Amino acid sequence: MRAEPVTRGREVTAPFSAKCDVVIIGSGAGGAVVARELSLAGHSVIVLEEGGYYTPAEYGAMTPSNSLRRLAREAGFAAAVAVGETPFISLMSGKCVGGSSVLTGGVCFRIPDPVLHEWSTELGLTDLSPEKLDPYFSEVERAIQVETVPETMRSRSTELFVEGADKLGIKMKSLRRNTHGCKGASRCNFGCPNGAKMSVDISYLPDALANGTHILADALVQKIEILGGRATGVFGKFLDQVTGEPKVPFYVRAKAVVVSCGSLHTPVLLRKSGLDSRHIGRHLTLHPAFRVCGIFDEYVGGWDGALQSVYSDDFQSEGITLVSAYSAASILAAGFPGSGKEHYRIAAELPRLGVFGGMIHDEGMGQVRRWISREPLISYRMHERDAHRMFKGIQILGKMAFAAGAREVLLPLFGSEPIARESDLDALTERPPSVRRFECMSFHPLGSAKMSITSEQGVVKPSGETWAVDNLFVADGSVLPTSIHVNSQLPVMAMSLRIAKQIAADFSRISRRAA
Amino acid sequence: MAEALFTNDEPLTAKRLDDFVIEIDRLISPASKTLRWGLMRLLELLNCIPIFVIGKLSLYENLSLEDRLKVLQRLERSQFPPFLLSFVAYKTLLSLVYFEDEQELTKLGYPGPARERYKRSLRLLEGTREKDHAHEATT
Repeated sequence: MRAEPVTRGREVTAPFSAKCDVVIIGSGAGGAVVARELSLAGHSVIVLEEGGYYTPAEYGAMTPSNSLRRLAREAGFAAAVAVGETPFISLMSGKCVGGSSVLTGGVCFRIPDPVLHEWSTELGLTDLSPEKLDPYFSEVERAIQVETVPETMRSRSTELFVEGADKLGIKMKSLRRNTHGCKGASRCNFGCPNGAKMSVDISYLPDALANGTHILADALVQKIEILGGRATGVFGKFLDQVTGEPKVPFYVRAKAVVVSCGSLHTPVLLRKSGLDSRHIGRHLTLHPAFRVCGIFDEYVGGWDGALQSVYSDDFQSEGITLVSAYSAASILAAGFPGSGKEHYRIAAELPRLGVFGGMIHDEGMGQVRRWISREPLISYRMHERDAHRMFKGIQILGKMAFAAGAREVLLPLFGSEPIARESDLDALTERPPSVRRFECMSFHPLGSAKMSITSEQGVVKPSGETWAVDNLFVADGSVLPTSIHVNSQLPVMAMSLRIAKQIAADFSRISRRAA
Repeated sequence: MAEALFTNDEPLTAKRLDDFVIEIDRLISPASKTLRWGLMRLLELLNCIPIFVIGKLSLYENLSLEDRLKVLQRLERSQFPPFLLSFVAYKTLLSLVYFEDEQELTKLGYPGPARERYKRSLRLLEGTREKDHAHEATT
């Protein structure tokens, strides 16, 4: 990406104001797609990103902790407040130019047909059928170079995942990812060290920049200006170089405002700006994810190969997806049980460690609220059905690990000893431990400003425009009306492309309203 | 806490622990004030916990290494969410930094950034290209 048009807000010392056709808040999977599409359509576009700007060479050289510190929200330590019988769920989302796309594993799925059938029939969102969304998915897939991960790129950890599945009769399929020239560094979640992941800072924003888009990093939007029932611009402040606190004010006047802050921040900005639909911030789904580790007698070296390369949808009807996974050595070691020598004993097994992952299709019991901080208060209540799904998923992964030859299995259960017998897994369903003891992660927060066919049912219209305010659009994961079973990067991009094309097609009407 | 978590066969040096504190501080510095405030309160809770989990009327920081380790082991199995949370939050934070140290990773058997598996794909590609060239030559 050319560096010049990206303004580092931390270096701006004087108040800034500008005028454009469209101002986009957020430069991640949603905002970047909208920026490229609208700039290609000839509109003047400004993108405001709260996070910093780092080139692929810069973030590729960062250590995992440095990457979390510079590229992730809350330095990677964001979490949902558990309500009732709910596990502690850590939340990963990006805060940099490129957003979460810089920190994903690169996995690309289309929204499964059964989910789209539900949207287009039961929810009445007739334009979201598989056939009608197909062109958007195809266009994005070409732009981000979605390819099937070749078998030769599977790590030994993934091969063991597949061997375990084979022995239990579970079918595995190759994943698709947005990569070009992957060298199997297995650390996609911290920014690809080889620039091989086609995150939006590599695949989408360069075209937007080439077409005149201006990107301002370190730019915190504090409020959307709404006059006479329509959005007319945004107010905010550039963040201070030293303290990171808001300092130098800016104002951008625009005919249309597009909010692409992601499911955790879009609702906060909408509320701060005066929108008051009861659906704003509700219906948050997280796709709680978990991992089971197996310790094998053989050398595994799971860091050598693609981070994620296979999955199984055999249990999709039960709301469980199995996915091969790995992570940085330090992250894995942080999750090992025990303290002192016991912790170190297990950490020393790192070269013989296989990691098996899964996630569940949850029921949307989360909520995002504004509170005293710049960061939102996220609460989540796990549905009983989802807890059972998780128990079952963990049990399946444990059985796969033993079937693949693991001599010890580490469950994602705080305070649990490694188990050495498959029969110990049965206790998970016979005498279920408290759900609060489970270790969960979420990489796909969705649905907190959902799309609907009436203003009573959701926050945005099928076009992406809010029901409450004209010329104010939302284009990110928050508009998805339900959980989608699968990784959300490609769905967010395809939905955002659809919204961007509608804005472009309707721009003369938007301009007239803005006049 | 770091000393109790990571002391293995050799004791951790004071310098290592000091460097460690600086690294942890640097890591969480960009987090929101509320998260940092929460982490501070959890640390204070941890410091007052010994009486509840091992029955010793002492601050955590004044305990012997052996007792500090015992507290951590009890916290990991605690049924009381705030106790468990204080342990999990700090263990994750500390481990993330501790196991990022190159010497530590080498001791664990991590080979560094070198990767071999992707070369299998390259060899396959090369093989396909050679076959194509041979096919073109014969036709």
